[in-house]
Amino acid sequence: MKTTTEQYTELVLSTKDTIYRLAKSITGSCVEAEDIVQDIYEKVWRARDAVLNSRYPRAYLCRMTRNLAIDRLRRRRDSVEISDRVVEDGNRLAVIGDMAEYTRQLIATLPETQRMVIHLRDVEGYEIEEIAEVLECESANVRVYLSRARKYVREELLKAINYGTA
Amino acid sequence: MEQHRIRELLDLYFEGETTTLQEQELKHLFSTAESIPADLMPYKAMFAAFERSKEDVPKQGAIVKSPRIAYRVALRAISSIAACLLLGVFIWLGAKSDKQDIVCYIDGVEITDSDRAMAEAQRLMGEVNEDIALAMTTIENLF
Repeated sequence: MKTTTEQYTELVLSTKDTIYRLAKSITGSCVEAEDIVQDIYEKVWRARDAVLNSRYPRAYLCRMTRNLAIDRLRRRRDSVEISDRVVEDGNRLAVIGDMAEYTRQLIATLPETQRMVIHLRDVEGYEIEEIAEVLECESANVRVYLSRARKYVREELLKAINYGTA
Repeated sequence: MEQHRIRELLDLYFEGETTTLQEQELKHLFSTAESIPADLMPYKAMFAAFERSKEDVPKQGAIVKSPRIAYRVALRAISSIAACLLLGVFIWLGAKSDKQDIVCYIDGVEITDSDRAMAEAQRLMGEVNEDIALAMTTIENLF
């Protein structure tokens, strides 16, 4: 039987990269993401019983990360400007042919929920039910967000390719 | 054959209907297929982007090196230890004083019940232990 501290340690070790990437995908900042990782694990320790006993502990962590990252973004109030800059830079990148990098930048311009869903599914490999737990919505809604996000990326990629070859 | 399977899976993928296993198969097909037709290249790029994103991890030691968490935990631990010491002094003074009915003061309120004073001391000690455990777990063991 593992102690609470052992369970906590295991959870942190298995999720710290995911939490970092998720925070970075929302805030767009490495420094802020590192800061959020610290805050999250401190909060998790304080609420360790609730987290460790939840059905999907890592989904619980992702939800906390999302809320914290959004709070910080709201305080910063410059997320729109960042998204606009990414789109412009992305168009230039597509012309020079780095489609994978352009895809990453397109994902960064998605609405927050779609960005979160595509990140958790396609990068982290989470199950739909876990993502639904993070977003506190139905699995069917997650599939809709996922489909919209993927189709948006596909359409923008195809547009960029047509623009580059025109 | 491979191309046919890729197209079949992509149709499901863009509808959000693929399972994780099917998505793994798709990634595998894109990374191992001998030749990918031009019209499928954007999709290969998408999957390459997801793989590239996975490599994005915090710099080694970046979280430990940030002084904020260590500072906050240390400050809390020191505050709790100081509160315990102060409470101990009050209890000792209370026992020595002529007013034997006052054991100590908590938040400016006279406490005459020694059991309550002891419970408060134990609660503070519990907080200290918790903070120290957090500090040790977070800083030494994890990163």
